Amino acid sequence: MSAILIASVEELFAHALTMLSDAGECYEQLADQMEIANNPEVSKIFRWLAEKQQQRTRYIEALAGDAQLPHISPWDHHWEHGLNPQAPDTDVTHYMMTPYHALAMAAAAERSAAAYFKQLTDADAQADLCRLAAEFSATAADFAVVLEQRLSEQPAPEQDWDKDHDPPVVLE
Amino acid sequence: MERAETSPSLKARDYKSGLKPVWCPGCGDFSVLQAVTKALAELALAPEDVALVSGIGCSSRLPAYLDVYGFHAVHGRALPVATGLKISRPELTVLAAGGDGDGFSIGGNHFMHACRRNVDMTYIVMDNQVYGMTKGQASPTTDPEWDKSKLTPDGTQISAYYPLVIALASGANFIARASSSDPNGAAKVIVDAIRHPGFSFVHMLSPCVTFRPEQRLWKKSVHPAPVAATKDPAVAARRLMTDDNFYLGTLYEGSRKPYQPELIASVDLPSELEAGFLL
Repeated sequence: MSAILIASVEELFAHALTMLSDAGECYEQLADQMEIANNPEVSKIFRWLAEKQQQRTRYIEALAGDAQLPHISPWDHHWEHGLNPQAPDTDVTHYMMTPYHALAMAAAAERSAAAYFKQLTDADAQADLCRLAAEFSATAADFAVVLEQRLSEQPAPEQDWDKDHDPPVVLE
Repeated sequence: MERAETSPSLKARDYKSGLKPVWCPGCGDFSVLQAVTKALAELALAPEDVALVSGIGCSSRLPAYLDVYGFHAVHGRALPVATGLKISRPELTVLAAGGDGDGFSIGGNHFMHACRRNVDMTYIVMDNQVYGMTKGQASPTTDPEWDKSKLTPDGTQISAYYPLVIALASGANFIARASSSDPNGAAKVIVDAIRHPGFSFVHMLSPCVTFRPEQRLWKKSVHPAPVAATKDPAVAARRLMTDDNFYLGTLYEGSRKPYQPELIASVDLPSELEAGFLL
C-alpha cells in the first residue's frame, strides 16, 4: 500500500475528505438505487450511512480550518489499486439485498479505512500527521464497531436470498 | 441555461442532475456516471460548455443524469448528431455515449465513419456484451458461445466484434479502454480522451449484472496495460494482436488533424451543407 507517501497534514486532510465525501456519495447513490428498486428498508440504512459520512466530512472540514489543502486528481490519491479504502465495495449490490448485506458492506469499508489510516501511524512520519491519522483510524474503527453491533442484531440472510420468484428473464 | 460569468470551481457532484438513475442496482453504468462527472470537474469545464449526445439503451440514459446539455438521439445515431453539433458549435466540448449494441450494431457504420472523419469529440461506449434494455439478447461484442438468450440457444456462433481494432483501422485519433470497476482510472482516461484533439474512443467495460451476472468478475480480470500509449498505429495494431480484452489504459494517441470545416453563415440548400461533409 502506498499510503506512506502522504507527506503532510494538509495532504492527509485532502485524502480523508475525499474518502468520506466519495463514500457518502456512494451511499447516497445506493440509497437511491434501493428506493428505485422498492427496497425501502435497505434504502433507509444507506441514507443513514450517507448522512453519517456527511457529518464526518463536515467535522474534518472544520478541523482543517483555513489550511490550504492540495488539489489531488481522483487518480493520484495514495491508496491501493486506485480505490478509495472507505468506499463500500458495491459488488454485492442487488435489488433484493438485505439490511445485513448493507451493514456488512459498510462495516468492511470502515475497517478498511481504519487500517489505511493506521499504517500512517506506523510510518516514520511527522508527529502531528501520525496523531491525526490515529484519530481518523480510531473514528473509523469505532464506527465499524457500531455497524458490527447493528449487524449482529440482523438475521443472517437465507441461502437463496437473491432468488426472485418473478425474475428478469431473457426475451423469448 | 445561463452562461456563467466566471468558471466556478465545481465538484463532481455538481455535474449531476437531480434525476435518480433507474439502472439496475449494481450496474456498471453508475460508476461510469461517476467517472464522467469526475473528469468534467477535473477539467473545470463549465456545464453550459459541455454537451452529451447518446443513442438508445440503458447506458444511453446518461445525459439525463448529468447537468450539462444533453440529447437522447435515436437508436445508433448518437455520433451523427454529435458530429453535427461539434461542427456547428466547435467551442463546445462534445461527448457521445451509448452501449455496444447501439454503437457497434445499429450505429456500426456511423462508428467507422466517425473514426475516419476525426471530428474533435469523445465517444464512450459502455460495453456489457448484451442488449440489456430489451431483456438480454446477444450484441455484436457477445462471445460466440454465450447461449443464455433463447434467441441464440446455441450461442451466436459468429465472431465477436472487436471495437478497438475497428477504431484503429478506421482512423480514430485516440483509443483507450477503461473499466467501471475503477472509476478513478476511468476518469483519467476520459480526461485524456477529451484533451486529445480529434475523435477519441473510450471502450468502457461496464457489467450488466442482470443479464450477464458473471460479468461481476470482470473487476478481477482487468489489469493495466504493461506499456504506455503509442503514437504509431502499426505498433498499436501489433499490441492489439495480444490484447486479452481486459487491458486498461490508452492504446493509441494519433496526430491526425481533426476535421473541422469552416463555418458558413447560412446555406440556401441542404446540398450546400452536405458538401462540407464529403471526404
